[in-house]
Parts: sequence; structure tokens; C-alpha cells
Amino acid sequence: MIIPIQAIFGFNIINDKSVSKTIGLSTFLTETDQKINELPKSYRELFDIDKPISSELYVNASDNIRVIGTAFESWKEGFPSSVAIVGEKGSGKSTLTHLLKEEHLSDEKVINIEIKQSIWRIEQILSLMGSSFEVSDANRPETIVNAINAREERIVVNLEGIQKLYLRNINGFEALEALWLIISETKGKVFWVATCSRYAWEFLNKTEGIETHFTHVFWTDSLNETNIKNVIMNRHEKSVYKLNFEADESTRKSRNYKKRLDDPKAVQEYLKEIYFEKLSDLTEGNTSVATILWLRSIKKVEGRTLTILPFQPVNVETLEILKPETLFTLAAVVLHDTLKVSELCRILNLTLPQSRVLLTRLKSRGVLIEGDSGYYLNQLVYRQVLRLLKRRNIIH
Amino acid sequence: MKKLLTYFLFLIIGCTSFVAQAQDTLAVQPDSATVDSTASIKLNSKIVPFEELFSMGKIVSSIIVLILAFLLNRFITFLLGKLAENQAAYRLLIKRLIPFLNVILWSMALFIVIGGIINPPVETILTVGASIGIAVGFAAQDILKNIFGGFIIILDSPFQVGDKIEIDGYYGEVTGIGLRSTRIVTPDDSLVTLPNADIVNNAVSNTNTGALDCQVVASIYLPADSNIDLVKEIAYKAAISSRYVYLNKPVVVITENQVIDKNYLIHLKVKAYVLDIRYEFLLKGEITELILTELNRRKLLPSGAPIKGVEE
Repeated sequence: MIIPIQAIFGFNIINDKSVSKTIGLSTFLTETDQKINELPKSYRELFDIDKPISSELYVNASDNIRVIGTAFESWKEGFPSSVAIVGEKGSGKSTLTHLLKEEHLSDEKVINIEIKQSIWRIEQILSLMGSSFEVSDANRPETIVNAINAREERIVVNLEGIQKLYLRNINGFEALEALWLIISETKGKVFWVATCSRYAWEFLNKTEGIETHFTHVFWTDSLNETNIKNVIMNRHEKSVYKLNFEADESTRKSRNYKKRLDDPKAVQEYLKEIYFEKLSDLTEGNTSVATILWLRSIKKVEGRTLTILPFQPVNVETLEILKPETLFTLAAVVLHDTLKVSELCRILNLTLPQSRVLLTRLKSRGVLIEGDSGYYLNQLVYRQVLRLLKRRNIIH
Repeated sequence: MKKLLTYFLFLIIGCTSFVAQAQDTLAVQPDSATVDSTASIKLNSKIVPFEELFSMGKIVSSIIVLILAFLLNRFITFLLGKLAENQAAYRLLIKRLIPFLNVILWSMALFIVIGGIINPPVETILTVGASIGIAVGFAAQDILKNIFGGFIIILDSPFQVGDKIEIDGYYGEVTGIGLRSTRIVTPDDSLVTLPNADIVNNAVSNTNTGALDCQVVASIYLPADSNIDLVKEIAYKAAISSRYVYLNKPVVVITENQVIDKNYLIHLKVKAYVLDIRYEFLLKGEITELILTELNRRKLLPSGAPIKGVEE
């Protein structure tokens, strides 16, 4: 992303579309929805990040599935093991657990616990665990532990969404503390497979030492350029469309491009290479951000040819979101994945109206999206917001 | 700085005319036993008439150069200030460049004026230098002390622009290091100007030493019979829950036994790092508020007890 020199010095820029290299968020969002809806339905479905995918489409970076399978085998042999799968939102944590169940755990009894709403009180997690393990009167963590250890069969527990088991509040860690007790006391009987978003994991690791509760930690968001290319091309190759990469203005001026002009095939190879290089830089290994930006890059569909034009990155710097309270709100959303008004109010020690104003303001600007479980960060600006928060030393 | 330059310019003018007159006197004493005729001829060749040394053209050119240097200096300072505020991660690094650039720019301007425009003979420069030494020795001791202090601060770097320092009872963020004085802004937004000579001769406490984060200590006094483990746990959670805390460095909670007014008290200290020194007092306040609110909620504070948050 090219940032104008004036912006680097903090001056307001009067937008001149003819020279602007980045576009505003509202324009970007409007255009994105419109452009994605114009694409053929079958093609859109191939890139639907909410749909489970088969193992042939999955890019198994770092050979995660096999290594988790090895950890599972050692647990079966009696070594207490527990696995944490960590990655940014949309990086494929759920897909990995889904494929893991298919490949290694198909013969095992698996209990799935998906945490959809924030839970931070001890009663809430005891109730959730009680219903998952069929334990009545689960009023203490020890009751759950005893009930699990009294079971005859050994089981696998797939716990999705540890990031929703705490609230960054002085009283927001009760549920996690109960969970650590349950996990540590039942490792022999239960093969725990838990997923957690990256920034919650890093926060909890610094404050609670979350890493010590798991014997193996796997990361899903460390895809390199080749992996990102495979994520896109594996899906694309399932379609009937051919690709035609177009050069943007800066590429057309480059020497590398000009010297290939005689050979159309070499031009396409070159454009494809620089496209994925740029995509990888922008997504920093996040699968869902890459798929959305890929769809956004499709300029037109002519017959069975898709024309790909390098996308214009959205510029969040012009959003006036640099005020401290807004940045702290975004950081809270990043740390918890989803947040409700009442939860933000506990995290930032604000009143309900103040929290509501902060969240709705960001929603109206397209930075946050409101869902059933609360407000969450728009994937289209996920990377830019993270970079902004890192630059401000708010998340690390 | 402007005053200093004016003073310097007048000094140069005065001293040069003095030298010119002295040389004229020497040149017109042919019968003097101490004066060699060849030396007289040499001196005559070095004497530059006052009108020529400080012609109107040279004075105007010098003034233009100094004005340009002043404007360029202000412009660079403004630009770097804007850049620093917009690039939070490099704020301190950029701000610390400003005093260096100021010194370099003014040195270059003076070099151009003296060496390029006025261009006096070497003897004149040496004489003027000696005169300055004498003049300064009597009249401008304090100014010189401060200027040397400024150079020492820039070269020795006990602190930089953007650091939080404490000198002579004044605590605040360094906003500028000049040749004569250093300016700090205190927490209550007062601008304190400290002469550089005083800074060099006093102990300086630097809180963050160039880093964006710095340690903050929130202190609370509790009754001696408090449940220490529980209170420490509450204090730790209060610190990690604060939005201003920097978690790449450890949060530590310690207790000390203190006797105040013949009462045994537990002095609870929460040591945490703030993510940006500008939030230092907000972090301290938030930790204190969170701990006291939670202790009150759990009824761990006896009503009417003299519990207070004390700033370190």
C-alpha cells in the first residue's frame, strides 16, 4: 500500500481520485459487496469461508494435521497430551479441527463444545461443562473433574473459542481459571483440542501463562506466499474459469513487464507472480482475508475468463479512528473476537450509552459488523486495523 | 538563540573594528623601535577597511542567510514534529533528531556568514575569538555555561526529547532541548524551562530512557490485617485489565510493612508498564480505582479506615 507523503507527516489530504492510490472505506465496502454479488454463484461458493472444505482444498501449512495426529497417538499410549490451535480470526482453526476429526478421530468419541457467546463467570462455564459432560449439579470445577475421571472410556473434547471464555475485566477471568483446573486434572482421560484466536492467546499467555496448559500449540495463520497462492488456486481450479491477469499502472511502467511484452504467456506468469506477492504481503498469512481480496480483485467476467486486476487497498487512516477511545475499543474487539455493548462497558469501564456510541460509530463506518454474538471486526479491514493498533503499541 | 546571534554579531563588529584601528595605529608609527618595517608592510596587506568588511551588501546577505536559517529551522522542526506525532512507534526517535538538526543548521548558517560572506582575515578571527573569550569571561558566564551544558546534554544524552525526566523537583516530558535551556511539560501542563547548566550540575532521573513505555507504580495503603494473597490477586488483575498497560513487560505486585502514625499498614505497590508514556497517570489512576472499587465491593476495606491511594 502506497501512503502519500503528506499522510505520513499527518497532514489532511484533499482527495484527488486521479492520483489517489488507496480508496476510502465506504467506497471500498460498497464496491466489494456489489462486485462479489456480480460474480457467478458457483464461483462465489467456492470461496465461501463459512462453508466446511474438503482436505484437498485445505492448505496444510507446517503439516499440522499429521503432527496433531502424532500427539493424539501419544495420548492414546498414555502420555497426557492437550492441543491448542491458535490463529487469527478466519485463518482456518475450525477447518483444521474439522479435518482432524475426519482424518484421525473418526473412530473416537468426540465431544464438541463450541463457545458462541462470551462466558466469563464460573457458573456459566460450569453449566456449559455440566451439560457437555452430562454432569448434574456441577457447582464446582472439582465436580466436573471427578465426573470426567470416573468415566470408563477416554474421550476427545473439541473446545472451540477459548477467546470467548474471558473478559478483560478485574472479574473476567473466573471461567478460564476453572477451565485450567478441569484441563490439568483430566489430561489423562481427555484429549483436549482447543482453538483460540491469536491476540487473545498472546494476551492470556502474558497474563495467565495459557501455553503451560497445553502440551502442543499449533499456529494456523503463518501461511507463506506459496501457501496463500495455493489457498486461492486450489479453489479456483475447481471452477471452469480461466484467469487473465491485468497489469496496473505501476507494473506497466516497470522494466520487468516491458521486456516480457513479446511473450503473452510470460507476461501472465509475471503478473500472477507479482499479484500473489502483493496479496501475501497484504494478508500476512490470513486465509479468509486472502479469499475476500481475491474475489474483490476480479474486475470482470467475460464468458469463461476472469480478469484479475490488482486491488486497491482500503485506507483506514482516513477514518478518523485514531482517537484513543476508538483505538482501545478496536483493541478490545480484537482481543475478544466479538463483543456486546455490555461487555465493552465492563472492559473499558464505561457506561452503557458510551459503549453503545463507540460500537455503533465504528459499525456505521463499516469497521465493525454486528452479528448474533456481538460486534466483530470487518474482515476487509482486519489487517489494516491490526497494523494500526500495532503501530500504536496497543497490541503486539 | 536570536539574542545570542545578535550579541555574537555585535561582538564580531566591535572586535573587528577594534582590530582594524589597532592595526592602523601600528602601521603609522615608523619610528617605533619595536616595529619592524617588513612587519608593517605585512600588517598593511592584511588590514581590511571596516566599510569593506561590513559593507551594506555583506550585512544584508548575512541577515538574509540568518533569516533563511531561522525559517528553515522552524520548518524542519514543524515537519519533524508532525511526523513524530503521526508515527507513534518512532515518535521519540524522530523528536530526538530535532536538537541535533538545530545545532547543525545554525552552525552551517554561521559558517556561511563568517566564512563565506564576511570572510575576515585569519588574524581578525583569532583576535575576535580572544576578545569573545574575554568578553564572555566577564559578561556572559551564565550564557556560556548554559551553551556548554546544552552541548553536553546533546552529546552525553542523559535524556532525549520525549523522555520523562525529573530534575530538581520538576517532573515531566521533555519537549525541547535548546542550546541555552531545556523545556519540560509537567503533568499539570505547566511548561518548565530549565537552564542547561543546572541540568548538567544536578542529578537527572530518566523514567523511560528513549522507550515508549515506562514503569508506573500505583500505591495503596491497607490495614495490616488484610488478606494479602487476595489483595495481591485483585491488584494483579486490576493491572492486567487496564487498557493502558503494556504487557510485554512484567506486572509485579509487592507489599511492604509500614508504620504510619503508630499504625501498622500494608503498603501495596503495583508496578506495571504503560504502553505510551502519555498515558502514565491514566494507568496509575485506573489501577488505583479498579483496586479500591473491587476491595470495596468485596467489603475488604473497613468502613471509615484511612485508606488512600498515594502517588509515588
